[in-house]
Amino acid sequence: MKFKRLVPLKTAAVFMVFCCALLLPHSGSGSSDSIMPEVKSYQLENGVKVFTIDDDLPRTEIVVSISYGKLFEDMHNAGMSDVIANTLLLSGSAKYPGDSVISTLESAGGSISVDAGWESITISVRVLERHTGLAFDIIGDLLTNPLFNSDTVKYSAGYVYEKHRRKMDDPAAKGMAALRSVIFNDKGYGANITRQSISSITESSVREVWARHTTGGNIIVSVSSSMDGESIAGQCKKSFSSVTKGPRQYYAADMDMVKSQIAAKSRNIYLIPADFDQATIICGVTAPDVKYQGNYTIEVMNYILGGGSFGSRLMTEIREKRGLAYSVFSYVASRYSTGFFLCFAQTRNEEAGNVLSLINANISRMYTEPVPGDELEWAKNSIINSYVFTFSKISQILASYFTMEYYDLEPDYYSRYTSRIAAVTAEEITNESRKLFANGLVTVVVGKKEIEKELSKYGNVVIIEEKL
Amino acid sequence: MQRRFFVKRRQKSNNMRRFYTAAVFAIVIFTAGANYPAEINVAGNYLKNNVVERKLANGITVLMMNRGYSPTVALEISFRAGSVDESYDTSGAAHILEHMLFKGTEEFGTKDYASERKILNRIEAVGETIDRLKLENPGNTRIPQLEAELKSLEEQQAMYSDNSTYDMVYSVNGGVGFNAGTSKDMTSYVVQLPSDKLELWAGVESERLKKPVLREYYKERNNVYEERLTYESNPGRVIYESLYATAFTAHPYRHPVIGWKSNVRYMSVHDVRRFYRDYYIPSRMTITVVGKIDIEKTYSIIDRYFGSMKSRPEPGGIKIIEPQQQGERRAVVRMASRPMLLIAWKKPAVPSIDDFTFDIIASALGSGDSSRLYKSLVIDRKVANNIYAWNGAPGARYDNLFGIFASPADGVTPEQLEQEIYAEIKRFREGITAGEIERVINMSESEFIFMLDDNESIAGQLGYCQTVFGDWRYLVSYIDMIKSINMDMVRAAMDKYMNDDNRTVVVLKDSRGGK
Repeated sequence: MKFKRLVPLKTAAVFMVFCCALLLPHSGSGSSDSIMPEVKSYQLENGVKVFTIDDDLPRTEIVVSISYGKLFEDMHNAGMSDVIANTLLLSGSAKYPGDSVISTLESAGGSISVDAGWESITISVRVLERHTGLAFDIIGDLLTNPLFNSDTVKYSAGYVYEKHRRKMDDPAAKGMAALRSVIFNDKGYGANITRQSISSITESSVREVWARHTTGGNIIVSVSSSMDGESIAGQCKKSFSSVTKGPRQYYAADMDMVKSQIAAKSRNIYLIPADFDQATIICGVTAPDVKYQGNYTIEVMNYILGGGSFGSRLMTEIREKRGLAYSVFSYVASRYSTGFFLCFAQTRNEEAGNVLSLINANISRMYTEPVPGDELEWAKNSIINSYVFTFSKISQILASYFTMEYYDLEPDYYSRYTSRIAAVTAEEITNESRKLFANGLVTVVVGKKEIEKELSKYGNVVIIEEKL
Repeated sequence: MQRRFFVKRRQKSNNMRRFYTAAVFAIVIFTAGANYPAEINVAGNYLKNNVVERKLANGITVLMMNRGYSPTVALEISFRAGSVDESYDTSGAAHILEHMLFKGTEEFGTKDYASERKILNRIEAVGETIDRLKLENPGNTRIPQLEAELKSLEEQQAMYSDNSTYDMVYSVNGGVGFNAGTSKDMTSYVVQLPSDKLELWAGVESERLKKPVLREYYKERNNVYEERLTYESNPGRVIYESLYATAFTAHPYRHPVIGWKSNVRYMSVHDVRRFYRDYYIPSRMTITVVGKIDIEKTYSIIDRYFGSMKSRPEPGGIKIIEPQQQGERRAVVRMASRPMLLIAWKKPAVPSIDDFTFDIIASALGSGDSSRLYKSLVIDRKVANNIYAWNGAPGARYDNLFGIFASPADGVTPEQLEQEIYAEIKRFREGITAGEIERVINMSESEFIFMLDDNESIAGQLGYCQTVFGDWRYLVSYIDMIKSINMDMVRAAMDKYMNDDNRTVVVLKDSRGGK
């Protein structure tokens, strides 16, 4: 096979050496044959990048990621990636028109999904080994010869809009959407689907986005299969070589402007009235992008604050000590050129103010008090010692390669990960927390309107009537 | 938070459900001569050849499987004890007990148990009195005084408490997914650890199960109450809760796993403790270990730590049998939500062959985008936004339900969609093809093989089948079982069970107006 070697994938060798070391048996495990499956990688002439891994069960899974997702959208076309994903599945391709994509695969016992994520649209096909050729044929034809007809686009737009409305019946989803909208000014993370945004999506706009983004530099293919590597390489070449050559495309995120507006918004508490006995409280702020060197510190900070399950501060202070919430946590996500941090809790309406003040107090502690040594060691050891689970399934190994490639991470990103976590200090946590929360946090509460007075003790309450 | 997802996994995994419902029938006669490819038995043989089953002297079943390349292990302890084993008054006890088993023992989670114990005893006495008085007369003037005393006692007890002890021990040792889940049929405690932490796990879990201390009970009960409130704002949960309570008039499958709101608020700690004593017994317990392990060393460790658990008498099954339904039952739920529709029919559970037949019916009708209902009503006619069929809810230890969930498309009422569904079911009954059955078999085989992807899911499947059906080998024979189903059997099962008098329908209507 003639495949152009992908230069950045020299990083794969570093990664592999590291992972093999990671998977060496711990002392006393009684296992001496822990060998991680090898990942092969190459690039087609048109720029499509391919990662493959052997599977010991008779099956094949192909995942094609196209760099276009919700972060590419704004308030004018929110829903575009979802409509593309749905239309692709329903309209099919030249060789497999209409829903014959689905029926052909399901008749063979296979399955297909097309999902729109924040940064990519992902086509995933699973089949037993004997149907591997069919799977490649279908996914290749979908990628290169999709049929986007106006009726299907119109139907998909309605379908996506209705699905979104149903999702917004959940107070947690509604609160999350409102929070992102306020922080990110209805763009990228903040672009929520509306009737207007959905109405703007047409056959021609779908075709235009698809053509612009399904180019070689924008596509990463991951394959796990029990078939031999040479056969898989041949199938990849056959199915994906006709993809148009083209560069990688990125979404724009004006994070400086977004951050500059947080201070004014963080003085408000946005209340969405909802007639449930329980209030949902979400506080959020922008977080650094994926390449920010302080992310290791932020990860440890988040683990201590609310990411570290039952041992975290929010869980301990709000749930374990006071019995105020079942669900309470913090979360941080870093992406190519944006990021998002949030704290979440659900409590009975009469305790909403109390829980909000506990969240704020614990966030404040992160930048006003050094984390005690034993707590810091617990968090770092927990992250480091569980790192082995990042690669415990072949799909996770492939996903790690995908992440490294998609975000153009340093070649030693994974191999140095644990040492970087180990190096985090209490002082760094205080400093990074101060930076992260410098402008305060935006707060959204979904709860009874009667709690407005109580919430007003903690900020200027702005009522958001149902508009999502 | 995580516990919720665990319960959901059990309830919503309709595809995997197929593998739970294998049976005790002779299977070979139907499959002789069938021309299925070689992979058809790969998944079953993979388990048959690699799962090792042992039994401790006290009756605990141990399932072990050495697999994979990663030096990690998934560990699950399951009890054949769920909400179906509760009474009307104790609905929710199994779930609260699951929460309380995160609270430690006489050694774990305390700085000084001897001193703490006196306070715990007083907390229980005061807490139980407050509940009793509130139930008798919420305006009783003693209540505020007792509540103040309870608060003071809890503050005293907190000085002895080490919060989240188990979580801290597991997380610092690299553990992930430390969790538990309660369903109608069973309760499970799970964690994944590096393989060399197996003995640590055995030490912690055996202590946890042998000598639990139900400390901080009233605070944790409040957390469960919050969990209950979360359910009440979720329309999907609300409509299913209404379905089970409507379809079952006597059988405890009608009760929600989490318990009714009033049960949770006043659940007695004595009832929770009684549930532990009655049902957390070795004969109802299965330990499942899947991952990179040495089988003999693993068994030796488990025997050393769990072998001393004392056997106790079997409490027996429930006596209530759901009466024969004598007419359609309908319920309407109103809440701020887009409309939904649930239709269900009663049918037998494993080991009835009809249960397998309904697996075929559920998949052919409503599993996958090319299934009858989805293709006809969502893709072609566009009267539904979503639709799927399921078999075997709300539990599988006793006779249960086959059902269809649907959300109408914008502008279509649930009642209109309901009629469309009946018409499609009729067309299916009259025109089912061999190709549709073959599609289901192919999908089941494929799903089975993809289920074998990781330690956690394999441990979950093995533990479930052993606990609920009494034998993990149901997984091995499942594909052969559904291959034994033919079109005549499908039609016969539909005729017998999918009739109007055996049906329950729940419609969720949008309280905000509109269709």
